[in-house]
Amino acid sequence: MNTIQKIKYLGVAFVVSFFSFSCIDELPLVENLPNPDVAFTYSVIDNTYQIDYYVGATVQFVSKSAAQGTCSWDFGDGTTAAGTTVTHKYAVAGTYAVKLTVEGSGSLTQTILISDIRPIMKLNPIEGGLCEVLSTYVSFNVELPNPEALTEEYTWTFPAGTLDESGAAKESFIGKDPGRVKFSNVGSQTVRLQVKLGGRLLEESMLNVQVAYNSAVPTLYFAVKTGNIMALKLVGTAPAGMQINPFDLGVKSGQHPLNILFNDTSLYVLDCGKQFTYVNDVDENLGDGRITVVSKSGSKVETMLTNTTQAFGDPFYGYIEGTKLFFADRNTGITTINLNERNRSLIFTGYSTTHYRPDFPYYVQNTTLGYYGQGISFGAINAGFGKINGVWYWCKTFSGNGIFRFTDADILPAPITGNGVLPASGVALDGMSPKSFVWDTKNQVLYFSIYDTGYEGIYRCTLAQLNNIKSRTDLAPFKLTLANGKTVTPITEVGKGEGSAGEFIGICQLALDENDGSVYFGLRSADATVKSGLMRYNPASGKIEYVIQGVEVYGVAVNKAKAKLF
Amino acid sequence: MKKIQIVAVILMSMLFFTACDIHDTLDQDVIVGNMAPQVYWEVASSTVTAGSNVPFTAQYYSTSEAAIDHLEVWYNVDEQEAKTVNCPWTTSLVFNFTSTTSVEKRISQKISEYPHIETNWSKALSAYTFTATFPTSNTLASISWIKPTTFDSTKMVSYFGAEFMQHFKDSLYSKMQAVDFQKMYQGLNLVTNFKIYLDSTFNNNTGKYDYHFPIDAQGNMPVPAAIRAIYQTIPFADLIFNTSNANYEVEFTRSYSINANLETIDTKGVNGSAIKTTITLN
Repeated sequence: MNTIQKIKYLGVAFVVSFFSFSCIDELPLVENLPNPDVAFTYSVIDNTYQIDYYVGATVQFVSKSAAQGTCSWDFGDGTTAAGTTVTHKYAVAGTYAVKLTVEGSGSLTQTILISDIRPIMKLNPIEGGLCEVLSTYVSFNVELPNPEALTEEYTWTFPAGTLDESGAAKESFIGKDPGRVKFSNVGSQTVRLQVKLGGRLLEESMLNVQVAYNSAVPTLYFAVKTGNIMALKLVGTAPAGMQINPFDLGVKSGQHPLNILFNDTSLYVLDCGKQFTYVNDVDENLGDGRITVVSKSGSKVETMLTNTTQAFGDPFYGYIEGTKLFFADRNTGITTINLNERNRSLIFTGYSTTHYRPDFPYYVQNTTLGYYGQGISFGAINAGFGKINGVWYWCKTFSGNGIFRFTDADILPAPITGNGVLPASGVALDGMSPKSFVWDTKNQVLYFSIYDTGYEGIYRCTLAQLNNIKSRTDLAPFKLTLANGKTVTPITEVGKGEGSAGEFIGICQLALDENDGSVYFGLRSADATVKSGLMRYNPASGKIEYVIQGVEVYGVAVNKAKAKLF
Repeated sequence: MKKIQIVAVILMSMLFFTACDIHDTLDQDVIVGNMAPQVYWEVASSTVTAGSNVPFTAQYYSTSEAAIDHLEVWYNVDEQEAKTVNCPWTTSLVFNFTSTTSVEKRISQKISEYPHIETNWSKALSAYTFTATFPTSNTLASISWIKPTTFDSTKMVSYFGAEFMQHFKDSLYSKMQAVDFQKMYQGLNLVTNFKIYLDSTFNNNTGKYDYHFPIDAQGNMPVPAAIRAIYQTIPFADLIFNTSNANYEVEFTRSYSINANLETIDTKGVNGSAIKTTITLN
């Protein structure tokens, strides 16, 4: 190799390396800018309550910075310190922004939550494990972190119907140990404790005592808007003086749990997420729906399925048959998942128009029924569905309205664009907006809700009568009313309730108590003279009546197995 | 031959010189460092009561020469707040305040440590396995104040801030129309005959009269001074009182969740992490 060649090689190498090195990022050198080489951790170093971060706890901050330099700390409460490892005590509860600055390198700010001291309330173990109304006495245990040995003042507040050991009403108690009490009402009985520590009022603590009924009865579950899943013993007529209050399971309802389904010992909550109406989800990443499995007591919550892809793919409505849960998305089809599945994800691949889902292919789609193009249009909005006598009933409320009926044999092997063979089962409530239904096998009657303007409400009829309803005016004989003659009218006005045309929340689920034939549902009332609430149709009176007034409910489900508690 | 040499030099140069921050050839194409222990865990429930212990089952093993030393559970704390305040008196508009936030309140930190025990080896799983729990703090219990039947101004300030009530009142006033004032004032029994403050215009479209405040010389419909003065005297609580349900249209919830992780650390200090699990506290 001669000199000229060597120069050529070196020149080539130089040019290549020049361009290659030019991709190195310039790191900010300004001291007060964030620097990835600055890092710190913190922890409580007191011997007790290390995970509580109480006011007055000693918190140790340790720099883990790769950057070299003097460390200075701003604790966010007006105080500062210097050094690689420092400690600090916060005097007031709150959230603080702690900033570590490494001289000559940069800084990092992280938050720390300092909690106020809070009494820890516990129920002492109950003999037999069950607190039964009017018979079981319970007692309480309170632990109050008090490192500075300040004066303690305890004020207890008990729910109505609490009795002491002498049988006298106990509404409140001042002192640390209120003694043994029993309850004369069923449901979550909330005991509250207000504590003053050194004369300073702490945040109120509360404890729910789950008080069982005194005989075995079915349980109704309902999902409360911006609240928790609740349970209610279906007692029928409660004994005189006894209130049947709901149990708070301590499990959040979720964003829009339009359907909840009870099976065996678990409650399946179908939450269609924050966005449940139309959205231009061009990036197909607005899905946030999920199916969760809640044990009947609420003590265990597991995730069955999550969707983080298309918003329209979220689970909206469901139905359980055998070992499978069928769930409908917003406007395309119905999918199945085995009841024992956990922690699964809905994955879409390919183009959105094909909705290709390798793990969870559709069981049936709009386009795999002969109705497509002949009743069901593209994107027809789904509502409640289920099977009656081997025939699927699929409610649609937009771009094809009615209950579209079909058998498994009617489901086509591949999507069509139209001109299919119409299923022999036919369309019920053709052109109307049925939102939900439930079939009473024992009494051979169908209950359904619709929200067509002027015809909103709950209806009850036989299948033969259903087949003869050809127009909205045919509905009149089957409409159910309250004792005062009024009907139930769900909100269908934009801005007043949730949803939009074709997909208002309406009465999104009906649940049957097979024991007495009652049908339960949640009403968001558009009629100022009929309050919103949890309601039921009582077959004994033939009227709709309130179960709980004022509560805003999504899905409802009944556990027909009888128990004193859950 | 010369061409081959030149190409070889270019390739060699690219391989070694492209190891910049973004395109680290070595880091992308080969495994460097030590093999971390493998760990998998399942948490019994994704929702637990604050203050309770969270049960979990773990499986782990190591392919490295280094033995497993111990395991650690780490988690951070996120806070979720949802706030809604609604004025039920308005009919010309829907007036409400809604806010939802989710922020990290505490960084991830070690919560508990578990010793590695050789006898935990499961032949069937070809992994070590054990069940244990980790603690949560009762200070992270959720708080909810939903449509109360009695108004608590201390809670209102605590949950919404000191300025919120006045700001809400001022904003509402700027949006209200005559029909809204009328409904509110009559509902709160503040005015016996509201019509004396109103004027009307026949609406050809509806065939009915529209009621509004009198039109001034500039064509505006200013709120009459008397109505304005009464508004100043209305307590905030009355603005959000729902007479139908006899409650106040305010909702506040604060809850916490933790993002928990199980780490397995070997005797060389190399750690392997399980998939992070989010647990809601109530």
